[in-house]
This record gives sequence, structure tokens and C-alpha cells, in this order.
Amino acid sequence: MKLEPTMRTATRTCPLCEATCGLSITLDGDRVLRTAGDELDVFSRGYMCPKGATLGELYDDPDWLHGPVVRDGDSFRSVDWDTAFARVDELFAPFRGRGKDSVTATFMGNPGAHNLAGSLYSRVVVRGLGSPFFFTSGTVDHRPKELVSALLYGSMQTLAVPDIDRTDFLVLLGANPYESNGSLATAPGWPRRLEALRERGGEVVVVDPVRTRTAENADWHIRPRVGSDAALLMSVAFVLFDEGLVDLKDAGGVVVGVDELAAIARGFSPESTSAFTGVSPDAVRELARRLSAAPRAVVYGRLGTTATEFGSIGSWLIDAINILTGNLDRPGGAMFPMPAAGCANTRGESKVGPGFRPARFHSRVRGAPEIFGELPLSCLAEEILTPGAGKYRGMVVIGGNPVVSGPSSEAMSTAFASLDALVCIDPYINDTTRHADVILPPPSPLQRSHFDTYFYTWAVRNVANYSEPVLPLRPGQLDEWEIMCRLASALDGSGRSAREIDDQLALDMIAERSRHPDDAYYDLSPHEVLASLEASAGPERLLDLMLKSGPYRDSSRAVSLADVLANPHGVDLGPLEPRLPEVLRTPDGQINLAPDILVEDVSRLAEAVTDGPGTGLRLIGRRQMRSNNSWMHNVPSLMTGKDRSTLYLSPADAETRRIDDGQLVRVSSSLSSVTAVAEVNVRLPEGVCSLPHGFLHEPDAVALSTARARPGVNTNRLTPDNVLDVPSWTAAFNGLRVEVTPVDKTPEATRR
Amino acid sequence: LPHVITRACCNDRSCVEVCPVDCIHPADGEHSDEASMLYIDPRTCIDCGACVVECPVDAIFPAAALPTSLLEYAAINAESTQLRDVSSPVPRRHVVRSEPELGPLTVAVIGCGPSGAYAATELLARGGPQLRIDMIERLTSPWGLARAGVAPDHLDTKAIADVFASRLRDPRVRFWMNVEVGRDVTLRELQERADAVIIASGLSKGRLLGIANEFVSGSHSAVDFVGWYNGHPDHQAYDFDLSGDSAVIVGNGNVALDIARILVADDARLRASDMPGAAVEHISRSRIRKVTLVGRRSAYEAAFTTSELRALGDLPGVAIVAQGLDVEPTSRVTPAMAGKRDLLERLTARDVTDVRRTVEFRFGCVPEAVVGERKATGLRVMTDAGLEVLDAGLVLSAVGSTGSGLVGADVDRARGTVLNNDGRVTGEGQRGMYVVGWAKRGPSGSLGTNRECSAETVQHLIEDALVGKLRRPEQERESLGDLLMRRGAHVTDWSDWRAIDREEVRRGGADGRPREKVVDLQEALKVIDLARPEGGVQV
Repeated sequence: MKLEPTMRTATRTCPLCEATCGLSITLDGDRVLRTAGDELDVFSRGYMCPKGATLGELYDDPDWLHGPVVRDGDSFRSVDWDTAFARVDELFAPFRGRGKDSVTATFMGNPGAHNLAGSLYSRVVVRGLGSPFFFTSGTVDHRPKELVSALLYGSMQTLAVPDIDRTDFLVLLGANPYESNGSLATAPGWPRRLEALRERGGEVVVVDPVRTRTAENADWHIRPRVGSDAALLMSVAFVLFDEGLVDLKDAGGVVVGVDELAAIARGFSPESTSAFTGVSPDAVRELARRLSAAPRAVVYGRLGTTATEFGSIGSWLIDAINILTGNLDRPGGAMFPMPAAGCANTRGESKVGPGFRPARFHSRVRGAPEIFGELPLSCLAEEILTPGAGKYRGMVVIGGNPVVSGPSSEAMSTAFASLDALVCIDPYINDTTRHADVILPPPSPLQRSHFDTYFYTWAVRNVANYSEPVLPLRPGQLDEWEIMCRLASALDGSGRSAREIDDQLALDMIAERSRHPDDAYYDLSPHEVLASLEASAGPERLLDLMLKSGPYRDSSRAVSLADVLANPHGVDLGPLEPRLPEVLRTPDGQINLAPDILVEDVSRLAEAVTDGPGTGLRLIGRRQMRSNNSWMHNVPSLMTGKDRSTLYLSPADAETRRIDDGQLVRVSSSLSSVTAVAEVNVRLPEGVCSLPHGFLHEPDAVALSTARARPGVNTNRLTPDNVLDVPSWTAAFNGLRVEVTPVDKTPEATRR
Repeated sequence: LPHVITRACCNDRSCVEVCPVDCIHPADGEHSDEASMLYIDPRTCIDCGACVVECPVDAIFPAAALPTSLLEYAAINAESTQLRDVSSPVPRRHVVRSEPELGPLTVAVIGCGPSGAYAATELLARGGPQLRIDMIERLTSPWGLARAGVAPDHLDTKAIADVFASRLRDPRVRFWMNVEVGRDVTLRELQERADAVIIASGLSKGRLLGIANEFVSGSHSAVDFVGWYNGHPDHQAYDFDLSGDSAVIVGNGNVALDIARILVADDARLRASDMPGAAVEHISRSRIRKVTLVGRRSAYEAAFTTSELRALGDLPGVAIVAQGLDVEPTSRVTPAMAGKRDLLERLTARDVTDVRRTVEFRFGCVPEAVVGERKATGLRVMTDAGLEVLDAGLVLSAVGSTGSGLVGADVDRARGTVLNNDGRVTGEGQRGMYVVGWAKRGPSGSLGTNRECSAETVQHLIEDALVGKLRRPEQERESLGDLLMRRGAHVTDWSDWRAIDREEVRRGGADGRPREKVVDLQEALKVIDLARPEGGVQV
């Protein structure tokens, strides 16, 4: 088709998942005609997935709110922004100024991290609310990984990511990047990169109970029992020590605690864990030997290793094995990114830092410790529902749907319904926001600028890519940073303008970059800095500030807002480079392989190994490329085709229970039960069943017409809020004990 | 590398609806309803694999994981789509929604073949919790031609039965099998007990050639031959004489090619199929060395699809020859038609070593009469060169099907189809009566063509229901069971079919085969009897 005069092609980074793919979008006016992968993108090189093709549909989504709504009895009424913020002011006035006795809290979902304005300005909202009680989806996801990173390297942002483009031997545990596009290791086109790895003679090992698409494409598939990764990895460490395969190489100078870890691993010989893990001692030994023999090897784990009962130990051992095999901080091993916009490990003094201090306060009801300033999502419902001083009465939700994505959905829904005040930044009336008093909708992704400040902290290559908004705001829409600044002002009742709050944030960020002599702005006055920036307000000013004060500032690769604007396909800053020891921010400048918090949890694992594998079915999640956690179910092109919210059941378990493919079954946990359609699937081993998370959309008040046409099953009706990974308080969604029974023995019997 | 669609493609277009970049299309120049298969444009495919999950016949593979026998399809997909405009807009998709206004709705579907199964699937997606479907099946096994028409060596295509089975496990569906409309219950009686009736009974008889001596022994309809080697209970009484060294098939559609392939296949191929053991035995003792396919028109206009021709070309030790490749076409030649002829020419030019058997294509060849007094000895044909007798001990006519045989609906005498207007049955007293599949449109299209055909009919049914054009049933739905019992029908149901299914797989497995079909009704009832916990059918 020839481009008509009204047509144009826009280049932008897909903001929907962690992969940061470049998109090339053809539009006619404001109508997206076609979306293709941007072949010129320095990082994604043309890769994209079905979600990336939906930005036009999201823009046209009739259920996406284009202006604020406030509760009016049982329904919502459209209002202008002034009215909406006035309502917030009125609702939250009674809760102000209580400090640690606050009766409010914030929940922030993933979308905030996928959005330049959202990730930069959320803090002003939290500050505006003035409550220390903060929850995110991290505690139902990857918190164990962050905990281990903080303990080992001094910051939750210091993730050692698998250098998949250069490794020879990659071990993936509980990860399915063929469906997820990868996580905690940003790499657009994971499948392509794995294929390239194998083409250059490398090997991919997948450790997963399920024969996933990723496992199908691996050289070796090890199938442990659900939730046994921590024990399996302990046994790998055992073999490394036992067979003298430990060689720290260059990291040797900064690693301590090796002997302590050796002593711990000694309790987990492959023979002793085999019954628990279901993996033969020979396989464990072979895995350990091949890891140590490979020129460049790396172990990587994802949700299957974190949202599980021993998530912290599993995440610990992944990093520990990378260190013990000499693969930390070297090409082809586990490396530390250097993000252009900086992060905790590029600021302040190099090599040492305050380290990690948890439990500065605790949750009221269960006494859960704060970790990284957050309380676990598993405790949220009880904090709202349990009577007494300190009971939460007001909440702010930023881009999240905890009723669907948190544990114990029914309690969570009851809790949100009982709040005196709830304000949500969200485009939709969904299962959580339907309880809101005020909903403040952000613009559609195509109407926002974009830069992945967050995901570049764990990208497998250092790149910087900025996207301008493709489409203007509609009349009555407000930019997200302005929404957040004005919300902050309404929450704290200060009456400050968005501009004032924005300026204060810029000054705060300058201050954070001028504390230490190594910091970019140590010698400059805030006003000199502001004058040097290329934008005068909003996220672009902050981004310019972050780039100009970032780790490349004094090098030939220095980048600024002008540079990223001039390079719509991205600026390539090259492959990851060794960063030890400067990347560290631990108090002693060392990596302690045996932190107390983790060591103390080992006895719990040892007991589980001794108790042996239980019987019965274990429920796990399942990643699907056409889903995105609890949202995007309202996009028609992602909802066509077969039902996806089905219960996968192994042929053996189906046979035992006399369940046919397509049959309606009841899935029951200790908490509750749901009904789902069974899908007998050879990918699953006996004893494991699987439901994808994020579905529901069934209550009448939810205004998601496409999603409700195909509602599915909410798995979190089944998940109790007290099955947790102990050190990190992360919900153990994977491995839940369930029973599955046929709802109908046969379709209505006709025989007589 | 992109994904690739291969031979088994049934063109039901499930894949098209999930493709985020609209890269799945018929071959260049082909219209989607006449397409034999679909192809992926490698220039726009993003390799996401969303289509793989949807494909009911497992025809789609990542290019890097193509089975060796299908490697050529990577190039075929690319060539078949190379003329497409890669910048054309991607159409916006819609999800199939249930109709909130639709109240109680009971639908009887006559026939559990692909068209009936697709109709039920569409109804389940569109109807609400008050929908009820009664699936009426004449045999004790469902899936019609998906079970007994698709060639027994095309197990990938037959896997569509698993998709139907899964979808029809919905608790709103009830099965009444071993129930024949006209024998056990009349169409009128079904109408009285349902808001709507959908005729999905197909066309069960072979079309006649209308030539002299057609009924002589050794001259048969392809419908009977295919039904026999596919284990259809209606076609088991035949004793096909395979002792001659040649067979002639009139017609060159995919059915003719299927038969030719089965007749020249080696034993290993037959044993790997789900052909009943007795038929495998019989065919493996066949002396037939040459199979000739007779077509009236040119090679351009041959009715077979290129993918079926390719499958024939893949058989080891089988030579393909053709006469009349240069017969002039009588219609305009499309690129797809030219491609088909070119492929045939290429196949005839190959050097086949160790030729065991030969398949010969004859074009511009009009059948005149079956030759032979008490038994067929050949087929007399008229060509440009004059009359000729093709010697053959077996003559099969594969020129389509006719005859729904259903009493109570007006039938087009020439085609055998039920008279209808886009699926609404026309005629006196036919309110609430619908038709799908071959009984609606005649014996055309591939298996997957039924999906959109049935969806069209269901759309009309739902429109009629919403505007109150359907009558509420006069009789309780439940009274169907009483009626059938009074008539002495031996009704079998879904779990009875599952018992047969399991038994077939068990028997086949014991012999290293995918299944051993139960081909006889009495045998089927025995299997059911043994499996029924409460004592079984009264036979």
C-alpha cells in the first residue's frame, strides 16, 4: 500500500512487558493500520510479539476511560479533573498527618514500572499520601531475587543478569521466555537469542516440571518436582564443593562466606535430595560438572523459583552457583548492567554502601517486616479488615489490580469494598477499581513518552531508547505526570500546583546526585543543574537529568535527552562489562555468600527434604504470550481463539480422576474452590496441574466488555495468604496443594 | 525464521483470528472460501506461534522444527504469499460473544460430523447458560467424515476429532447416539421438542457416473470404498476385488487421490494408519500395480489440491505418470491452477528408482462405459485420439456425493442438498429448521470450510431467536428419552462412545497401531455393555 499523505510511520518502544521491543507503527490519522517490529532497533532488531501489535487497539478501546470518574452510589459519574481532585482532597482530609500511625496505604502494580512518567512520579503520590505503608506486586513475584541481590551486592537493583548473548551454557529454572519474553533479564527476542546460543554451539538446559515451549527448544530438560528447585540447587552446590569444582576466578577477591556455604551444602547431597526433587543424583552431578566445565556458563531463574515456598534460598543458590563456578561478572556469565539513566549502584560512593536493613517497622496484624520499605501483599487484606487502631481506611492504587493479582482474592475484594476512601490511577473499571471512589485514567500508551529507566537496570545489553508520544492527548485527558502531581497535592491538601511539585521532585533528584564527591552534581548548585537541562518540566526534564548525571557522563558514550531524541531506534552502549567491585554497595565492600537471613531459613528446607515429597496435586501458574498478568484481557485481538483460562492436567491425573479433555472440573484448595475447563496436556508431569493467573473480570460492576465476554478463572481465589517464602514474605503461588474433581460425570446422561 | 503451514491444513481459519500481524492467507489469487489450504507470509510472520495452539490439525510448525517430510513447505509458504502487499492494514478482530438477550434455547443437531460439531461449538460460544443442545447421531460413534472420510493415513487431520470432543464436553450438550432420524424419531418429533433443529447429516451416497454398465460387479462408488477402508459400519459388507493389476478411478479430486495413495501405499504406511486391520490385510494382499485417475478436463482444472498431490509424490517407489498434460483448459488459468499443473509435470519428470507401483493421471478423458460382462474388466473412455479401453479389475467413481436421505425437508433433486437460504431451510412448516455442511452447500470445500458454513447458519438461527421467530417447543425436551424408549431405540451416549474410543485405542495399541476401529454395531454394543457400570444397553 502506498502511504497516503495522512499516513505516517512512528517508531517507539513497546511499553507492555520487560522486553523493550522497538515497534514500527503505521498510522492513518490516529488510526493504527499495522504494527511491525522495528528492524533498525539497536536492541530488538525487528523482534516483536502479539502484545506489541495491540497499541492501536488499546488507543481505540471503548472501555479505556478518557477522563476521571467518581463514585455516585453504585455507579460512576464522569467529572472534570478539578472536581475529581477536590473529591480526593475531601476523602483523604481525615487521614492526614498521622505518620507511622497512618490509616492509609499505597499499592503499586507493575504498569508503573512500564511507563516513564509512572515510574518517576509515583514517589510524589506516595509522599503526598504521607503513609509509610506501601505495597507492590513485588511480594507476589520477584521479591526473593531482590532480597538476595540486596544481601549479596548491597542493593535490590543490583541484579546479576545472564549474559545470554555470549554464554556457552545457560541453565534456566522456572522460566519460560518463549511465552513471557523474559523477565528480570531484559532481552527483546529471548527465543531468537536462545536459538543463536545453540547455533554457536552453546547449550541450553531447562529445569522445569513442565515441558514448556522453552523446554522443547532446549538441549536438556530436567523435570524436578514442583517447588524443589532450592533443594536441587543446594545439591548442585554440594557437588561443586564435593568434587573440588569451585573456582571463584576474578570474583575471588571480594567473596566471603564460601566455607559457611560449603558447610550448609554438605547437608544436601544429591542422594539425600533425590526423593524430594525427583531428579536423579547422576543428573545433578552431571549438571554441576557441565556448569563448571563450560567455558562460560550461567544459571538463571524466574517465577517458578521465586513465587514458591523456598524462593529466597533458590534465588540465593542461583547467584551462589554463578559465583562458585567463576561466572560472576564476566562475559557469558552473570553480569551487572550499567543503565544509562543510572540506578542505586551507579550513584554515591563506589564499592561500599549502607547495605540492606530490613524490618525497620512491621505490619500491624501479623507483624510482617518491611523489606525495601514495603509490606507484603499477603498482609494487605487483613490490615484493612482487622478492626483496631491502625486499620487502613483509605488507599491509593497506582496501576494495579490486587483483587486479581494478590492472594486470597475474595478477602481482598471484601477488603477493598470496605474502605472509606479509595483512589485509583487506572484506565479501566476493573475488579479492584470498581470499589474506588475516584478513578484517574492515564493516557493510552501511544499518547505517552517512554524510556525504560527500570528495565535497563537488568537488561542484557546497555542501551538507551526514548520514544516520543505517537498521538496527542484527547480533549480532557491529562498527562500522567500531571495526574500524579495533582493527586499528590490533593492527598496532602497543600494546594500546590503540579508545576511546584514537579520542580521539587527535580530538586530532590538533583540532591540525590550531589551527596558524595563521586556524584555528578556534587560541585554544582541545583539551579545550575536545572539550567543545564534540555526540558523545563515533566518526565523529559527528569530523564535528561538522569542521563546527564548517569554513569556514562564522563565517557565518550555520554548520552542526554537530545541524543536519545536524535536516535529513535536507540543508542547502543555496548555489551555488559565487568563491574566488580565498583558495583557493590555492601557495608564491607564484599559479597557475603552466607547472609544470616538466608542461612536461618535452611533448616526449613532441610525439614521439607526430610519430610519428602507429599502426595496429591500441586497447582502452578502458566505464562501465555497473549496475556499480560491481570490486564490486556480487554484487547479483542488477544482474546480470540481457544479458551486460555483452562486447567492443564496430565493424562495420568486425568485418567485417575476419570476426567476428559474439555470437561468442567472443580479445583479446590484449603481456602476455596473454582471451576474450570480441564485441558488434558502431555506437557505436564503427573501430580502437577496448571492455571494461568490474571483472569476474572466477572463481577457485574466491571466495565471491560471484551474481557467479560471471556472471563476465565481467578486462580487467586485459591491461594491462601499464609503460604509464603519466609525470608522475603513472597506469596508461594507455585506449588499450592489442590484437588481436582469432575463437576459433571458426563454431559447430561441420555441413557435410561 | 517464521512459522510454516503444512499439508494437513484444513482451512478452518482458526489460526487467522489469532494472528496479530495478519500474515496467514490463501495462496496469492485464491479466494478464501475456495482455498485448499492457508499459508504464512514469512515476510510479516513474527514467529510468535499463537497460530500453533489454535490449529485443530497440528499443521503449523516453526520453520526450524519442520519434520523432514514437510521441509519443502517453508519455500511453498513463501512462494504462495509472495505477491501480497505487506503493508496492508491488519483487520481488527472481534471475540465471539454470548448473546445476553438470548433466553432458553434448545437446539437439536442431526449428525455429529464436522458440520454438526462446528455448529454446536458456535452455539456454545454464542448461547448463554440456558442453551441446551441435543446431538443426534445415527452411529454409536461421532465425528462423521472426520472419523470415516478423512484418509486413515492422515492422522494429523483426524486429530480434529479431539478438538470437537473437548469442546462438546460442555455440560449444555447431550448426545443421543445410535438414534436414526426417520427410524427412531421423526424430524417433526424433534421439532416439537426443540426451538430449532439443525440438519447436519451430510451427503451419504456416491454420485453416479450415469454411464453404461455402471453397476457391474467390480465397479463401485468411492464412498463405499472409502467407507470400507475407514471402518464405517454402513460400508463393511463389500468384498472389493483387488486381484487385478490395475484400478481406474473416475475423478481426480482429493478423494480420488486418497484412494490412489492408499492403493499404492506400502504396508508400513497402512499399519501406521487407523485403517481397520481387516482392510489392511485385504489391501496388503492387493495385486494392483497401477492406478489410473480419469479426468474430463485439463490438468489445470484438476480437482485435487497441490498439497494432496505432493503427499502422493512423497510415497517411496511410486512413479507418477500423466497423459494429456497439454489438454487445453476451458476456463481462465489462475496462478494456483498453473502451479498445480507444473507440480504434476515436475513429479512426472522425476527419476523414481525401484518402481513398485504407478499412478497415472489422464486428462481430457471422458468415461463412456464400464467394460466387462459379469465383472468389470476396464473403463471405456473417449479422448481426443478416439475411444480407448483402460483395463482395470476395479473401477471406482469418485465424482462427489449426494442424497441426505432425510425425510421431512425438501431436497434439491440434482444435488441432494436440503433446500435452504444461507442455512435457513425453506419450504412449508420449516420455521426453526436449519441446515449446515454438505447437506447445505453440496460436497465442496475442505473439512475446515464447515466452520464458517456452520457459523453462518448459527448466526441466522440466533438472529431468528432474538426476534422471536422461533417457536418454543410444544413438548418437554425430556420427553425425547421416553419417546425413544417407547420406540425401542437402543440409545447410547457420550460415555458409551468414550468406552468404544478407549477400547479401540487399547486394541490398536496392543498391535502397535493408533487404534483398531470397532466397525460393527453389535460389536460396538457389546463393548458398551461391558463398560456400563449399571448393566448396559438392552440389545
